[in-house]
Amino acid sequence: MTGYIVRRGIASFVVVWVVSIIVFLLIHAAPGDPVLAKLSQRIPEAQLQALREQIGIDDPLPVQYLRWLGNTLQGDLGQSLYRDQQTVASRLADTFPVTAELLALSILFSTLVGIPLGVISAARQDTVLDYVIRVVSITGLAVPAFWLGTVLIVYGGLWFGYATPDIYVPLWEDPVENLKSFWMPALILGYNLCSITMRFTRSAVLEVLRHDYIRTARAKGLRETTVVLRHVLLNAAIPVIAVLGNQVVFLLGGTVVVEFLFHLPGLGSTSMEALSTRDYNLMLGIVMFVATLTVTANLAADVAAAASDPRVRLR
Amino acid sequence: MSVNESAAGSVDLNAVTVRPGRPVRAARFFLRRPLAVFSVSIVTILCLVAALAPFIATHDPITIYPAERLSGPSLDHFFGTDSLGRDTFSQSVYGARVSLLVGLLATALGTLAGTVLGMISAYIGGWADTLLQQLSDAVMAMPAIIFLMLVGSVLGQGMFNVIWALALVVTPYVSRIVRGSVLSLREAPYVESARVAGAGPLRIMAIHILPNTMPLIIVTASVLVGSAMLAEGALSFLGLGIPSDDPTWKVSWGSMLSPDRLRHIEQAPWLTIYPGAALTLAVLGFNLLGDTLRDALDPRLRGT
Repeated sequence: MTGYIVRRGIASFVVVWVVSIIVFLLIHAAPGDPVLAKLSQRIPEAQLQALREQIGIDDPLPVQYLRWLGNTLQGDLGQSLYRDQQTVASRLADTFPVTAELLALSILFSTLVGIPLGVISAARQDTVLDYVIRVVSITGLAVPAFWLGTVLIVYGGLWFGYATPDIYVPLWEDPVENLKSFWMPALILGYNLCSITMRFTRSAVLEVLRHDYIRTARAKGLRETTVVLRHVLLNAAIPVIAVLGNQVVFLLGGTVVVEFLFHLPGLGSTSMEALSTRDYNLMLGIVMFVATLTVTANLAADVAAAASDPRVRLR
Repeated sequence: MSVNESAAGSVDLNAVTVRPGRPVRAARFFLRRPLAVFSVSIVTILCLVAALAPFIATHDPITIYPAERLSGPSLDHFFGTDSLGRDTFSQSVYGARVSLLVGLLATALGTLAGTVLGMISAYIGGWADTLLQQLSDAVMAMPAIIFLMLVGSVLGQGMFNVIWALALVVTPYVSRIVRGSVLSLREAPYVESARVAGAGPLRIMAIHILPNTMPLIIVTASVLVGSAMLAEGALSFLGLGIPSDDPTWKVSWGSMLSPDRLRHIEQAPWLTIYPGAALTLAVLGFNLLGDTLRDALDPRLRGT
């Protein structure tokens, strides 16, 4: 087991390193540079030249990459190139809590709603209830988050006079105000995720229901509720949790749109800012952070699957 | 069954039931699946609207009618007009073109590349496999939208650039699935016997492995069409995809919903409904088409 984790851990590290090369090349291949972006701040020409040298932006690309890599391996992600006096690490520390809360709330929602719906749908297979639940979840995979969000904002305001707060307040300062601005975006992301959770739970439960030990449990006179809750759900939960870990990358993608729409200062909306201001360091920092988060979640999911199923470990 | 028949030498004719012809079987297949009928109808309607957009649209989608700005749905403007007085119905009709073209072309390109790379990966193995796997793992470790933003900033805006970028996202997903399938198929007895008979790798690939991987590729691709449409919508919504006044392609459903176009939305809330509903239906159609094709092409995959 330890060998398996170590092997997968090294592989994940290599993936993140390849991501850094791809992102570095893409950022530098795009037209425009951070110094030109600074022109909008009306900085004199001489100062700009000094800035170019300070950033080392005119050095050959391999030199710039190795410098960045060396600093990063020492834990220094560098300065934000657009906003003076801000390090990439401090921007990440400021914005990650927003994204993390969004992720946590939507995973919570999709687990609390998706798993029970999946179980009900499987236990009542081919009834009207099953069809209704399936249609709702199939729709959840097709509805664009940016549309659902726009409609909720517009009609929420129109019909109920409801408006989400414009200014972000951290959870620990004012939990009520904070949740006011988070519940809607979390619900939208959660609905997408919920559909996936529900579909996987349903098929996992249907799979388990076919086993002999379920027949035995029923034959010895257990109530159907006990069979489903104790014998089916626990066995079906493991593959579902593994699948959830692999969805983190899609959730992170969803946060870009949702944070943009609801004016939340998280990683997603900051990546938009980094892109438009050509802030190389910030963009690299964000993508590296997000990729690390993704491979860690995938690794955790795989380890959970391996821990519960010895056959996986040997592959 | 075939073993019994050949072993017995003769077949008991009374036991053989006549298998209905292909059209009858197809009709039965569809009638048992209302969702299949639904998905095929949506995709067909979408294709028709896209192909006949100039005849269906009542106005030019990017012509501005300042006098009629933000007017509600009426006989002249079925879906009303936006803040510049552009006809929303005509825009929604032309949006079908962009969505369909982007979805289909990006998926076709990505699937083609992914199939070739997946086969190379599985059949050649070694360093080529390692390199391709690392690259696809890396692309899949980034959220698609962020990778699209980065590639888009290199290529620039415009429909064909969005298609190229999306094809890059689609490729690793397909290559991974194809690789897995080829790896298991190449151990199959019939591939081994072909190899013993002297068939070269190219022949084995083309005649024995590719046809057996095809159902899986088609099913994967049909679901990816929907995802590609959603991604294009999100990208255009963020203002990074197809510009909202593109002279050739006119407008994308995603850019119709972008916040700067919806500034006066309190006076015309209905503008938010149509493009998003159209996109949802289109994606739903392709997702369900994927389910239908899976049932039709490969019974073993049912219910997965």
